[in-house]
Amino acid sequence: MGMGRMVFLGVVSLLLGLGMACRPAPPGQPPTPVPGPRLEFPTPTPFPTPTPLPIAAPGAAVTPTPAPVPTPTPPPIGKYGGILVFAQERDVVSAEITMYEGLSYLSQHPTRPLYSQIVMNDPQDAYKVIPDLAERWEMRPDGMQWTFYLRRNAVWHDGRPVTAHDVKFTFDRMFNPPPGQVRGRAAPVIDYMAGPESVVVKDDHTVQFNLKFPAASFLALMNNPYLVVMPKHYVEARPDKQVRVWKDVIGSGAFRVKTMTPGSLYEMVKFERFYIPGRPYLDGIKVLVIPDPATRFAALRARRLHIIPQGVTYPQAEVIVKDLPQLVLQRVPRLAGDTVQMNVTQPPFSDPRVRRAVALALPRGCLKDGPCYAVEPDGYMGGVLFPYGPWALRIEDLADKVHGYASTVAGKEREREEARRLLAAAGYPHGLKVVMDTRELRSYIDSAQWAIEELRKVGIEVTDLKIHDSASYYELTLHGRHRIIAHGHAFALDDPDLIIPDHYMCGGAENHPKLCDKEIDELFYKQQRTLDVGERIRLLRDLQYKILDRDAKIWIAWEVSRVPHWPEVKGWYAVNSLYMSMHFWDVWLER
Amino acid sequence: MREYLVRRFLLLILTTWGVSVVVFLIMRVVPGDPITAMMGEGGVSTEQIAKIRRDLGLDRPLYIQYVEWLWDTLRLDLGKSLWKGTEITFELKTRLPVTLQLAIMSMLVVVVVALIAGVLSALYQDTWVDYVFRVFTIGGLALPAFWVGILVILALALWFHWLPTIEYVPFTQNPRENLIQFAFPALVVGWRGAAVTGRMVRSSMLEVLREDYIRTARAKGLAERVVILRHALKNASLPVVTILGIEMTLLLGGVVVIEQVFSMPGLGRALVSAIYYRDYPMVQFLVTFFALVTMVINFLVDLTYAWLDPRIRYE
Repeated sequence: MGMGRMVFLGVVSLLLGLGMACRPAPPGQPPTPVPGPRLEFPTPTPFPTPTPLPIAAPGAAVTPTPAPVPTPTPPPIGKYGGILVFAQERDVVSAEITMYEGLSYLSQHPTRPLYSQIVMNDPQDAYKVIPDLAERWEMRPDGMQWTFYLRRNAVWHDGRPVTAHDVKFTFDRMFNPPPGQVRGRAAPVIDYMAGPESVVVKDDHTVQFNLKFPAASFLALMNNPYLVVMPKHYVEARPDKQVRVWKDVIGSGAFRVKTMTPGSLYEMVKFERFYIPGRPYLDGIKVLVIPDPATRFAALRARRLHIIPQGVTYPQAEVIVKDLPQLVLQRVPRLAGDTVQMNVTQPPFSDPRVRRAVALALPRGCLKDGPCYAVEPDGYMGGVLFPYGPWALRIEDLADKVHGYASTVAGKEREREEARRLLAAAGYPHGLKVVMDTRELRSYIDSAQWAIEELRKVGIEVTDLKIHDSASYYELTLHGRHRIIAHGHAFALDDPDLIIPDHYMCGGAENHPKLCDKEIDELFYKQQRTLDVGERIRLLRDLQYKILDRDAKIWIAWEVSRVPHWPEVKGWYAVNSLYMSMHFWDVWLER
Repeated sequence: MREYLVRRFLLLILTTWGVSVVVFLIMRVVPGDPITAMMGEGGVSTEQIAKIRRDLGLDRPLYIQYVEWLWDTLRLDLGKSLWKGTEITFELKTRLPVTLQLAIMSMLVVVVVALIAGVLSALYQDTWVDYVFRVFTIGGLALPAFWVGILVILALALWFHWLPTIEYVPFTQNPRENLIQFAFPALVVGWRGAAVTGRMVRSSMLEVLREDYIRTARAKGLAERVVILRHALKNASLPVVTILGIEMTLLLGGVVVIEQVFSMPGLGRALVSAIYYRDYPMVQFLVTFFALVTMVINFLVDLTYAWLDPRIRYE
């Protein structure tokens, strides 16, 4: 063999070797469906015990809420300085996060630090409401009037004071959205009011809300992380009466806009006149736009990012646990999950027996002695509401008690047998063929593929999985042309008044099964007005069992947030909502 | 020649107009519209959707929407992105330099690597130099740029615990940082172009090197450098220019993908995102713009033929 050929072969071998050596785990690859050893995190963050109830609910009907003590200036425990860098996959859609346009976390995460809320959640507890712009508040004993007293030292980024007129203006806009806008995730709280006249300015720093009925969840919904206060003087002066573009935001939050490069960077700097003296610790925040998940993760590894607040996938969490012990990985149950939903208005799913067969066929979370849900192997069993919150049926209320919730392999096999029997009774003794639709998101497709495998075990064959882009997918589901879909949901906060109307009631915007049941609607309205916590929980249990009985939206598993960050990030806590913890005024960098 | 230029110019205008009509219609025919795309992250009722459509004028007849868009565009009023609310001129101003720089640097990689490697490979045919070149070109053709891009990023992060700056750094702000940032994507995108063009350089050179006039040039004692560069390469470059023209237009496509992988805020990524969200004004403008650029490149390539080969005359 000549020298030239040897060199040639050497180069080829070297290239092949290099290719093999640096071959990455393919990003977004569906996890193997084969039951394998579950990921053991070295120091697993314990899932919280059911959290205390929202402060609006207990005894709200009989005693006024004690006025919370104004937040004292906490002693500076953090270190000042530094720019925190995090990333998201796409641009900010719209800075109008109180409207429908800004309802993605892509908009909410970079925009929330610029604004303030009236009240907000405790950074370490999603259910505990603490003062933000309002330094205190009180409720009339009948529960139908709430008065909020605003801080006197809060100013907008242009130096004008924040007043009660701004709060009223924010609510007026939700009642009457500007052209091209409709109400968004912040708005459910206005359902408790008769109209804009329900929000009354008592003086420059006092605003009063008059409700149609004593709403148990009023304060909880005021804590909605999308409900930020808008500057009346500034928005009204704009030609379109909107602040859609991020760089135009004038807020009262701890950070103000520095610069924006579309598709690349959203940069904020510390607002020196923020109303909490000594805050924020950080000099600024940079939000980078990194569309590719592998690049995003590589950027974290290379310390180009401090944190990925929206979390990482299960395989990436595995890499962190095994290879990157120097990273901190916060794991908490998340207000989000994967579902399979059947359109109850379309055959064959208009037949309750077929829906029940599907519900029986699909396992939930992990089986005690068998495999886990392959897409989210650390996902957990749950029903209609967040299983670790105060309102939901607990896992022990569901496991082996509700159809489809068998917790063992043998139990699941019995349920599959029952599913086959129901299919035969519904006229499909030899099985059923259906077409499934889903959206082109990796997690949706993975869920669909997993569900297809599980459904096959009882004789339901998905002959075609149609993958749509977002626009065509929502066109399909909006008009009810789908039959069975694999779909994911995430919620801004854990409250039945926020979740149930949209998802399970007649005409609900995210009620993709098109379920419309008077019994469910009536029970919802009853619990909404019930201020006695024990009674409300009892009503909600009945309501959840009824919804589960309809077999329309099957929660395959609830998800876990896996938020990685470098140890120098201090004061940031992952809570159950993807949308909370984004104010950043109490976060610092250790070095 | 002048008649030819006028004819090409009129054809360019007509084609651009045709592209704008086709894009306008295609965007309206595909399922979903900007409003339903926005619902991707949450729910809005049919009544609310009807209100937004009315507010945005999307319920008006198509011809009115098109004529209005065309008239505004001719007056250089590109309008606003339906999806993000930003002025399209602002997007263009911030994103065009990124795409332009990436395209220019990639083209530099293509031209430099293709010429050097192609000529050397032809001169040292069937030696190890040639074999290495062939492996290089096969790799460039076989491996998709987005995959190579991801590998490059992973390799840098895993082995060197380093990545170039992710947020866009303009050349005027920090030339060194800017060049480092663009070097990797330019090399990745340029690899494919260099492979295609390099193979063409090699085969053209091999053909030309066997011509009588090359033997004559050598026989009259010209230096080998002069023979290769002045006589062989110039004559071999006509088909290469054709390929370069095609590569330049393909490069625009490659840039779209690589901007995504390397998080570069260019026009390619804006287009992908605009199509995904059915952002009508943005898609209409960007596709028409890309079509115009492609036609101008082709036009310039045609003119270059005449410069390279004086026998070519346009009537």
